[in-house]
Amino acid sequence: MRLTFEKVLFLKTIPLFSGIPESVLSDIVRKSTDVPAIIGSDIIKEGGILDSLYIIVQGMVRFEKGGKTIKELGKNSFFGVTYAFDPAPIDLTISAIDDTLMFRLKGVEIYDLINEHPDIARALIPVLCKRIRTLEPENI
Amino acid sequence: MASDRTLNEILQLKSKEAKLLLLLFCCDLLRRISSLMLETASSSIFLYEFSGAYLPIVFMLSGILMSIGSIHFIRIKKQPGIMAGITLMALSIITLMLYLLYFGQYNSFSISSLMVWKSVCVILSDITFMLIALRFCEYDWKSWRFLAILSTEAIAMITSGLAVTVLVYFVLPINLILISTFLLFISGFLLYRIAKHLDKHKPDSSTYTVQGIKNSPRQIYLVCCFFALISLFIIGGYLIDYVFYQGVYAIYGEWLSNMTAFFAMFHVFAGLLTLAIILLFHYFPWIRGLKATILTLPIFIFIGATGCFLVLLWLVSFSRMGKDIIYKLVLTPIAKSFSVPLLPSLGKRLSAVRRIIVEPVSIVFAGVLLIFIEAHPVFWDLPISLLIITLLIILFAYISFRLYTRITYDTLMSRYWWGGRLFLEDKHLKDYIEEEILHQDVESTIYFLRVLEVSEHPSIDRLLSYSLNNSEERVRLFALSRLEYLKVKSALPLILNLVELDPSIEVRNRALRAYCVIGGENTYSKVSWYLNNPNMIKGAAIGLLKGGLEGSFIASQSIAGLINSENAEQRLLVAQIIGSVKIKEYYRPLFPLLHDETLQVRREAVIAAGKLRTTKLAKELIYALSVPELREDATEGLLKLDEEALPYLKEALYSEEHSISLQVRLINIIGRIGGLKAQTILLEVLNNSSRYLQMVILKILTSKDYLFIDFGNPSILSTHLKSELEHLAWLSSAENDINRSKEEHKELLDSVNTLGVALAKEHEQSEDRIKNLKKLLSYYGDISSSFTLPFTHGKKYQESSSPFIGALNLSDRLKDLIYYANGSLHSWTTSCAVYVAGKSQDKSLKDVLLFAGSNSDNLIRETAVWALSRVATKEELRDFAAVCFKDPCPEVFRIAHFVFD
Repeated sequence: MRLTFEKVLFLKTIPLFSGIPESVLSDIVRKSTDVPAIIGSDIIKEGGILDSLYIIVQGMVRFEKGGKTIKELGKNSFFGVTYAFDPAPIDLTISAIDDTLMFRLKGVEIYDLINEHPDIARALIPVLCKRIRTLEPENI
Repeated sequence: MASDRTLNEILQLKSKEAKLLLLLFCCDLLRRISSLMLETASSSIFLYEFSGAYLPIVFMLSGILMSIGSIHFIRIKKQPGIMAGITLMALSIITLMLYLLYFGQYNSFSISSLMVWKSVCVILSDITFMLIALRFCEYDWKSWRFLAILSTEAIAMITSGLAVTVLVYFVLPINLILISTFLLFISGFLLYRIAKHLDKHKPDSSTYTVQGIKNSPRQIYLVCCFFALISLFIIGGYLIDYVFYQGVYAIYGEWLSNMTAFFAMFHVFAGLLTLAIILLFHYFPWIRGLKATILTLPIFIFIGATGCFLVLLWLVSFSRMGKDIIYKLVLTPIAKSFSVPLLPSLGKRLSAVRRIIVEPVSIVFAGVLLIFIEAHPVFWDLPISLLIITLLIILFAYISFRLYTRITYDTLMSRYWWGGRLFLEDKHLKDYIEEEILHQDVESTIYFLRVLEVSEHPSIDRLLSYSLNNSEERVRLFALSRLEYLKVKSALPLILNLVELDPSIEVRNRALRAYCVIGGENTYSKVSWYLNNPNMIKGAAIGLLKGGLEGSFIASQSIAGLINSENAEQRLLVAQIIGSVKIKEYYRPLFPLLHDETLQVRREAVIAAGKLRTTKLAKELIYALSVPELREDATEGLLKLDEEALPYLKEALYSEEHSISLQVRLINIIGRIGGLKAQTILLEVLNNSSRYLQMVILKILTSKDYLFIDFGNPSILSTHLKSELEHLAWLSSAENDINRSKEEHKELLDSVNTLGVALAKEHEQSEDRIKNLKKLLSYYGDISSSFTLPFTHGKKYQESSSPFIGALNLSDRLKDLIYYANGSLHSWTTSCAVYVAGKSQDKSLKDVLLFAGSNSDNLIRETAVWALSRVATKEELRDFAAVCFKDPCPEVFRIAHFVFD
């Protein structure tokens, strides 16, 4: 069983959260849910709705589309940040390729946290902007 | 470009001899690969900091290019072309595999073992080469021609080796290339002439048939040419090394040249050995009858045995015990006996990248050239081969020259930006800089002038005088200051010209001062005239005061008038003048100015007092510490006094009239002065002061001992030390946090948090880390004479110099932190302390954790419940558990059920 303190310690190692005060991180931890996934299991299947931010605590996940691996993410990575704000079906399958543990933060919870702690918005907005720039480099 | 001819036919060899030649080739390649590994490994220490992304590329390219070479060999049909190709291919694969094995394993052992291996391979391959050549030729031992071939090679080898050695200290690389190649070609030409002469006067044609193959002067020359090429590339390798060592020469100084000379001496040794072999064969004819395999077998056995031994050592080194043995018994004695540092800290990024790119390229270049020369009959034609080789030499010399100047320039510019020490002994470099002065911006011009002055360039006077005409004011000011310092009398007319005509008042003042100082008594009457000029009085007064007794007398009246002036600006001017003169004896005028009613004058007087560096003003400077506006300058002034200020600081520290805040400043100044005396005073005060002051002193002493760690260098050692520092600094900072004001709190908190995370994560291994650290330090202590630790300031770590390592008892500090945390400390910091307490499983912390368990903060309570479960039994915590089960916080409730149920 993980302590809140240990979870906060973990979040502090992730660049996304490194600038957020510990008291806020404690609240994030309290709002989040532990999501374990055994090796080989699907976390979200193709066509399923992704509505949360997932932070990988341990293990590794794979993104597959039509049997082809798009990318793999390991410890300290996160995914679903854009979908947490705007839930939508995804056209790929996310599965665990190792025994994996993740923290899940639903969009609603993130909005609640942002209301209480604007610091979180400050941390998330640059990440979202970066993603937009990557996808649409011509939109300056 | 496939050839139907066998290698034997091309080289006109018998099959056994071809195999020997192949072995020779492999041996040489082995040496080159070891060299490659060494260079890459040593460079990688520095490449590590930018992820080492270049290394795989370099290795892959080397492997691919070697494979291409091997394919070319394979395309030469029949044996031993295929065998050579396969060998090359295998070697390229082995290179890549070795790289993979070594990747991430760069440490002093791997580098040192490769260094030894390289050295052994260099000398053995040279000897083997000669032995095989000896067997290959099988000339008549009494023949002049045979002796001429071997002697020429031996002489060339010795010459080139000596030339490299001499070069390292005296000569320019460009000269070496010309000298060495000239010597080689003179040798070749002489040999050719001898052979031709013998050919012309041959008594019997059978003399020229060697093992059934007809010989000719041309073939002899080609053999010689082959030798010359090999030597050329050996020299080329040294030169490339040297060129790049030169690039970092300005940074790392002398030992690099020792290193190069060390390898060059092997070359000389190999040449001498060759001569010895010739004599041996000459005087002991029975050796000639032995087969080549017998001759070379011991050499190969030795190479193999050495290689196996080193590989074994390498494998053993993975275990801690193995490392102990290797360090103590093998590497340390080797390093000591040859004065070779075990962990060479070569170069910076730029040089390192270039080195590892150039090395493989040169290897591939050499290999490809040899293949072409061996495989294509066109190269067997004497005039063409001469032409091509000459062109190659010119190209090589040109590239080396360009690289040398470019790298040196880059390095110097880097040094300028880093503000580091220079080490310049090279004439060419100085000339190059001289050239650059004419085309540089202000910063570079000043910098280069400095460099030339440091290196005592003969034309520095002329260049400084020339710079007086520079359009930039800063350059003119700089040139004037240096001309004054160097007392260049020839520049006086130009300086006087500036005094009268320069558009800048500052330059005119500076010129007047320089004019007075350089010209001496002869100029006083002229300079004293300027004392009446309000714009020029400063320059005139400084010049006269610096001029000596007579000058001081002339200036003193004006100075006295200015001190007593009602105009604050004039009093300010006096302080500036005294500060600029920097003569200790002129401190008296500063006393009234240090108590002047105008703050700006006082400030200038404090600055001047600092510049004079006299203890007569130490008390005044200490007094100035209590004025916020003067504090910074007073501190600087006291620091300039260095250890001389310590008695005064100590006295002030014990004075009861000073406030706590002033005492803290005094302690900080003592700490910054440093040294044994400062440490003694601090230790003394530590035992006789309030807890707050104790904390301040403790922080200074603990951090002082570690300040010299270079965090910028991510070596294994500094990583260890950094972790250790984080451990201690976290505790120390957290302690200080208790006593800090709210304004300082946030800034400190950030660092405490960062360190707390690191500490909490690593605490479980801390015991092992400390043990490792001590072990590492003991190694370095043993070889401290030849070992450069990656510390800045060149200091070496001494465990005994840190009396507080032992004093920092973790349990006591944690108790302090948690008790003091009651409301005054950030909850996260307290949580860190509670967490570390739990990790420590120290039963003595039970009470303090129970205290934390009643904290109002949920995070602290939750962590305390967990921590308590690790330091006490369930029975001992029964009452506490009952309280936890009623806790309103769900996390506390959850953890309580988890640990107590």
